[in-house]
Amino acid sequence: MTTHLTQSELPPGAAGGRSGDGVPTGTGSRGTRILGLVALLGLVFLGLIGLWASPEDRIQGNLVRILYVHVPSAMLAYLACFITTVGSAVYLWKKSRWWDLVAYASAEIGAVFTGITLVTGMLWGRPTWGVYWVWDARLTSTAMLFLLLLGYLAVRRIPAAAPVRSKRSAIVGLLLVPNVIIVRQSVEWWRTLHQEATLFANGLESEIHGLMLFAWFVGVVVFGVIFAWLLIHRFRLAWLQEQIEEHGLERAIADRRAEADAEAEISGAAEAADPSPTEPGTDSNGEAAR
Amino acid sequence: MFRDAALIAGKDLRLEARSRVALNQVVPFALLVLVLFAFALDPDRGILSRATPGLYWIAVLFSALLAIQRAFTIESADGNRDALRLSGLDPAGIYLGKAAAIAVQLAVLEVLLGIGVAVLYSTHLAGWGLLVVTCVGATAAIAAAGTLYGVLAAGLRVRETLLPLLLLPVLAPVLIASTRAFEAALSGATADGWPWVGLLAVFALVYIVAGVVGFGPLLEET
Amino acid sequence: MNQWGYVIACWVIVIGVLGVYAAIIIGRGRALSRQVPPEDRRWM
Repeated sequence: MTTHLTQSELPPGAAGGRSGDGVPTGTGSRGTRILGLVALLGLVFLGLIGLWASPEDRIQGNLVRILYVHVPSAMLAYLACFITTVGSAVYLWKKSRWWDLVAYASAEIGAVFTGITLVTGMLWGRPTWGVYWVWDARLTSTAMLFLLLLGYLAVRRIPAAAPVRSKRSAIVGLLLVPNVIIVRQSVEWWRTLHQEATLFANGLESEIHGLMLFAWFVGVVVFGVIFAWLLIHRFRLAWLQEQIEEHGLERAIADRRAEADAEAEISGAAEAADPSPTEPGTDSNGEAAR
Repeated sequence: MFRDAALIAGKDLRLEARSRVALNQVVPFALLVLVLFAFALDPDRGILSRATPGLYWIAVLFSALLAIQRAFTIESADGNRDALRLSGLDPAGIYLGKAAAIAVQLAVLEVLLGIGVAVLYSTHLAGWGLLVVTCVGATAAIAAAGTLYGVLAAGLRVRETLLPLLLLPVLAPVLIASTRAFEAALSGATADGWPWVGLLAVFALVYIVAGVVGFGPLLEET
Repeated sequence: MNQWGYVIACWVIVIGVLGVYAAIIIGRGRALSRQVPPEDRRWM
């Protein structure tokens, strides 16, 4: 049914991972290749600025270089969550499968970014505060975001029919942003009423050197490009998964029919070669299938 | 809508009155949690009395999970789900009814747990007004959110593990608010507690609206 | 571990995790693509 062309069989000039007749062989395309290249170059640029060109922070020293990946990561995690909620809302409103899959892809990528945010946050915290974790408002809220996203992803994977799955996920996805808001608010009130100094206040509010600000900006842009690239690929992957599910049932029926036909042929041939009675049941099955 | 709600609530509560599962299993479970906390936290070191509000509400939350699971398990028997859909009852009413039934069970549970905590942890109960209003708010919040996520997880083979994963992060603000309010009440500084009650009220409102709107689409599935 | 140790660890983890995730998606994309008839492989 599908042909898999090896690299040598591709005619020259076949771009974007397509076979000779322009059929895509994966989730890549000309657009994503360009995007991916931009992302990689941007990452190198960010590394140069963040790790080399920009100065140390007056208070944090070199640890500020962690923030050049930590902060963009956090921003994109929250953006991903927002996209999931919007996608879920549009799906519930218009039954658009496109938005349903965008919501799914965004949530998974959001979980990855949230995980990265938490880990980099911990690696920033250890040398700064001496401990890997503190229950300050920001870290706690991010941990909660992670758990909420994991919950959404769990609903995405329940063993049920696709429309059931999509609808239930959409309700959970729709409530993601409200939940995040409520959780953030309550955690913040909780921690500030205890008069715990938000330990970030001392770190970030120091003089922000021009190049540091630039590095943060580059970080956000580069991570945004990476996010877009991941989103496109993950969306296409989700689309393929859904196609396979749909085709899966049709193919199972077709396979069973082919099986029954084959059985009928065999029993028919056996009858022609040897007129003695065949096994009971096979004959009637073969006849019934035909 | 409210008449349908009363119908459903009555049915659920009558079912409970007859089978007494909540009374025979959920309440003992809650008390068991209190006892386990005492084992874990060593009653001689004063941690128990300082942590009482938190431990109380965690016991309530875990027991609520059981109560909500139960409320939807009874629906999956004998094609009840289809019967509900075809009955012509307003889905919003069904939602409110189920939530109300769960709320009633939770309220009873909270009272019994309160007695348990007063006895087992030697808590000196004070600030009664704040305590009661907090319980009302928290019960509404837990029932509202719990019913919505309960129907979401209902009818699935993975529901026992899915519901806690979905519901507990969502209810974290309720835990925070109720605990702070209780702390304020027990320590006499009740003025600090009322803003948290406000949070509970907002939470309950948001989820009642979400439930009323979202229950219908969730119910009408194959 | 001095400061640079933490910084490098962070960057390696970030790039590593993103790289591995990207590789997984692309790999699965290719594998699944083979199982789907050509005209259904893309949304558009």
